[in-house]
Amino acid sequence: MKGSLFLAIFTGLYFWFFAGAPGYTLHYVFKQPIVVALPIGLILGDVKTAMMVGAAIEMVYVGIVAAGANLPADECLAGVIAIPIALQIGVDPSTAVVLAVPFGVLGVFLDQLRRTINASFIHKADKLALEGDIKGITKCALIYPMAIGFIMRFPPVFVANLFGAKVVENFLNVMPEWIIHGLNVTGGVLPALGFAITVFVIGEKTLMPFFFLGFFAVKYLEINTMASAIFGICIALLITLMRREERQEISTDIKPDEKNNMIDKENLLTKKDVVRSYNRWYLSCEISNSYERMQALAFCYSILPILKKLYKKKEDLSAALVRHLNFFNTQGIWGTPVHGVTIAMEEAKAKGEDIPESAITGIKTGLMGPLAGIGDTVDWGTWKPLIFSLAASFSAGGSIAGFFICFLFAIITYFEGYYLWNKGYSLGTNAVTTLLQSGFVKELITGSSILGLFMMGSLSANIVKLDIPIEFMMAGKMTTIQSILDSILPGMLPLLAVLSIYWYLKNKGQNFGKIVFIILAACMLGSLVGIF
Amino acid sequence: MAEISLVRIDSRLIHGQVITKWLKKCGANRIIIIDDALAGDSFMSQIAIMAAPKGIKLEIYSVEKAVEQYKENMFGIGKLLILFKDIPTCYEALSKGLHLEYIQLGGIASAPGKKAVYRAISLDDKDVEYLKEMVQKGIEIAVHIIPEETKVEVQNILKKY
Repeated sequence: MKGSLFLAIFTGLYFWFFAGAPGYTLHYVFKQPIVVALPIGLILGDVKTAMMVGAAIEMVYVGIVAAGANLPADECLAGVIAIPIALQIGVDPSTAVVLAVPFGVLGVFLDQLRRTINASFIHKADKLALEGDIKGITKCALIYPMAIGFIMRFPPVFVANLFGAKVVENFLNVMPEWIIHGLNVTGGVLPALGFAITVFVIGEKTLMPFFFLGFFAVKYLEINTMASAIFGICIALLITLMRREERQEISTDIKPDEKNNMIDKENLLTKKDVVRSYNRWYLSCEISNSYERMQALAFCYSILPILKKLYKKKEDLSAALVRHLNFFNTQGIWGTPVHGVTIAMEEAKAKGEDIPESAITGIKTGLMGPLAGIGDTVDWGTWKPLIFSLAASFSAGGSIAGFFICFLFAIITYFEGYYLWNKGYSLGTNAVTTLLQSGFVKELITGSSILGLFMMGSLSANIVKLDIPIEFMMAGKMTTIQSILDSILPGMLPLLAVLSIYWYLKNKGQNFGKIVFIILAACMLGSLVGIF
Repeated sequence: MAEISLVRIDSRLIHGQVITKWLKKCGANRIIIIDDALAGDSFMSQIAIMAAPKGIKLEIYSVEKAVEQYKENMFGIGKLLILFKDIPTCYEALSKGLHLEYIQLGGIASAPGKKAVYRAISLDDKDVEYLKEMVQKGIEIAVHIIPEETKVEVQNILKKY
């Protein structure tokens, strides 16, 4: 097959590099099937189909949240293998979605392996910290995890793309018609999983009507995705702003704690130092993630230049390095006030203020959890599915617009983090109290939840496909069961699919692979007996 | 009498996995953190309370106070998610009279003297001793980091220590 060696090398390298996690939210954009699709489409000379397949796969994974960096499914591996195969053997996007699933599951194991192996680098860093070896720690935080990742991630993708298309083609050729059709039906239903997970993660039961509003706005008023987004944003704004007016009469009684506002600004550090360390964090925060100490190495790496500048004596520097290699894990964007506060505390300590080590560690470990809870809810639970599903629906017809829309996620989150990091540095712990107290965070969560539910409803109506095309005679005319269902309630079956999956998530469990298998089995059975 | 829907030991107490996953899975409307250090730290307590999602009441008790509340009226009303920071605290609460049937291990951070036994779980001698004792008392204990995964009974990971 023409160009398949080049393709195999390119996709292998692509997966190796971006699954290594350079750039907290930026690498995540590059991991999206819809973003993967463009270069693959260019290589194989069919951008339009590539975008359609990428968009279809995207929908399935749009809801997953990797809380605490535990990946439930790997959409990148799914995309980077299934898109080229689909393009080369010419299967339709729905079938490609099903082909992608096993690779998504395989990716989870690769990621677990990565985070297990990464533990050895933090052990190495422990020793280097005692010697104050900054260069060595940098290698542990960036170079080694990326290098070892090559051995794990390049080969499977390379092999799959070199031989996969032939294998899958032969496989599909010998399959009976009902299986081929069943795969297609499954592909039409699977996006329901992505939407149901998003609804489940947003999880505000009282806001559920917005989901139905979005769904039936599409079914009855026939509005497109752009219109849904505009109406959704207006509704979300109206509700949060109207609530704000009501709430202003009730004031909170929690006062910022004065004694925690300890930073007087005779600075040893410049604004540039602070910004630079944010960029180092944004770049590295997931690269060296290990089960044992999570983001500890990245935290230490991010403030290396600052510690070096603050502590001229070797033993002081070494002590600082050791204390910042302690267990640390937060959400990379909303957790950044912690870093800002830490930098300010280290600066004060270096100036001779009496700040015990336990105070610095205490602030870090106390704040990292609550802020991660907010960050996972806002960034991963809402922004991510909103932006990526919007992107996917723009590209469902083959447009490359979705590719660009995805980058909004990286841009928005980068600047959120930039702002919070600097606030943490300049205001100390008061930054956190002010942030939480203002009620802005809760408004943001409510507003984006409303928008999220509305959009999930509208996308479910637009994207999920399931119908019963059985024909029969009625009053002397041929008709189908589907047309009868449509006359009762348009989109009844897709809606039922999303709601059933939601019910399962809520009451049974959230094992991604298991749910996919149940959907596959149900669709296959339906195809075999001829319902679907 | 409140219904205890989940008890979890997690070094980070409330964070992403708890807020975006378990809270939704178990349907609790109250989170109770049992931790002496946090209960005595008014600033960190404020942060935790303010960071709780809308509609969820978060309370922080010392072990002493928690056991008292439990004996008095089983924590009052509602559906509870109870969080402990570490195994010794949980053990202490149990030995003072709290009754639990199932304990979930979510994440025990590594620290000097602890050994990584299974993914995000690091234990020391004391942890292991307490875990064994609690299992002997008939309490089911399992590692379950996120609901997407299957849980692993603690007996299996203790073998690796």
